[in-house]
Amino acid sequence: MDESKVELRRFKLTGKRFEGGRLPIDYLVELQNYQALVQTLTVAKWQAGHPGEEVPADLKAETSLAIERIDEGSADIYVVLEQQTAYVQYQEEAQSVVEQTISAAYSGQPLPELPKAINEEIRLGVSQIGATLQPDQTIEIYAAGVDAPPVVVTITTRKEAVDRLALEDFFLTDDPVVAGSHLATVQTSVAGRITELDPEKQSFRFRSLRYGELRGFYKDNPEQKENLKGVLDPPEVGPVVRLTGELQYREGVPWRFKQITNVEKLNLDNSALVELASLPAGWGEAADGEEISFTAIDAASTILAGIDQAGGSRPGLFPTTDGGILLEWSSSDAVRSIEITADGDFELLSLAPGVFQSVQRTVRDITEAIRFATGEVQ
Amino acid sequence: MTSDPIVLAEGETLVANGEELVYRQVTQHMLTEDGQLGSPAFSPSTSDAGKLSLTRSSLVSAQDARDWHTRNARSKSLGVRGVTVTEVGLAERVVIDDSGVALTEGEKRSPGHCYVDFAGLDKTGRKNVAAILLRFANARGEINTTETTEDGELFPLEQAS
Repeated sequence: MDESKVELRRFKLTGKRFEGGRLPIDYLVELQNYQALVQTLTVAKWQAGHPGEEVPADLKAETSLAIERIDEGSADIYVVLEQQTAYVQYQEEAQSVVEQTISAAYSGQPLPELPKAINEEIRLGVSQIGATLQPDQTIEIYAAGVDAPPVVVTITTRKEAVDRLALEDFFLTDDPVVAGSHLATVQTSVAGRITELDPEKQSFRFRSLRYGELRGFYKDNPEQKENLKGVLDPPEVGPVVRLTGELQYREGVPWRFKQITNVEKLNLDNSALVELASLPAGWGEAADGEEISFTAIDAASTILAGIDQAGGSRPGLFPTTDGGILLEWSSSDAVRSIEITADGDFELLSLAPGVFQSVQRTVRDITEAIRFATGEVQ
Repeated sequence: MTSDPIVLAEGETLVANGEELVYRQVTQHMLTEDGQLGSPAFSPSTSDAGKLSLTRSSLVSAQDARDWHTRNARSKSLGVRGVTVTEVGLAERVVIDDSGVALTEGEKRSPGHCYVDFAGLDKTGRKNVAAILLRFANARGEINTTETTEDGELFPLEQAS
């Protein structure tokens, strides 16, 4: 190909893994991500120039990228348009916008204006660049030209870039499910600990028991700031809280709270209860365990408090695959248990010494369950 | 003994020796931090189709049963408990040896495998059986085994490191 007529895009990978011009297969995801960004923006550019017209079926296929060559040394990759087509103009504009977005995200400059319909999708895609990097590796993206200073993506610089991409005009997307993207938002509650608060950005970091680190925002409900502040503490030490709000999933994985509507301190002084609250779906032997419901966790906590107050002996706690909790006292003589269902029913069981038929009944009233737990009633 | 008719599939036999111990592998979530065994240890999981998996002590040692489980099942065995065939009978169930049943493609079955059939029981019935078996297992205590080692290792890896 005549390089004088074709503008090359250059990506240089450094790190032991890339020595000798090697290009690990899993790194192709990075290039695919870049190509997908360019293609998405190309379609948007074409649509802007052809309002009301149907997008040509061949547009995406005709605007793919190809690896032109990989130079010696660390993997030094040159990418070109795979085919010269009528869409090149849109594709070049799209590439330019993608590269401006990358540069801005990594330099702290304002992001370029992105088409509203795909604004979040583009920022998500750019935030995923470098996701395959290991600590000793970098990706140099020559956004301003093959010989101009590159944008350097490392694990550290990427973290800052991801924050910038996530925060600016973050609330433009209101749709519960963003069409054509891999985002979904659900109203839910998650247990964990608040580890960091940023009043300037009205954001916080949250170490959830089930999903690991999440970010969140309280822009829509600034009154939550004081509630968050009240439970902010170093991780593993601070109280477990339940956050309720709009949790956004990316690629099916919990990602961030778009907004929160409630912060509630959970009375989980029992480490076994914290462990139950941490179980992810599929915890069972047959990958069949459901997440333990907050209804069951709250009820168990209340019953344990009632037992403590009465000076009774604490039961063993076990998760049930239906998302409930089993409180059980057992010995070589007898078995007593309270199964709290995910919906908050209390299934009481008593197997007395010397018999082989247990007495079982179900109650809805937690007071009755506490009386059973403390031995007031059988 | 169960009052329901016992239906054996081809290759299945009833374990008739009432004194024979059958082993149950204890995994995470069946045991509390301080070692209390829970009745979920004696309830079949949904994937077991109502069959509580056990191992016959007349055919396999408790240690071998534990090792096989740890090397082949989804989660490792934390220990072994057991009940006798008679004790299973007192819970109105039977122990069925299914080692003669043909395996489907990709299916694994531990050496000396047998099961207690919970078929036909509603939740109340299942919980009753599990409570009775738990009580017997508590009376017997943990059956002596050691943590499974990796092939070629003298000690469990976690312990060695």
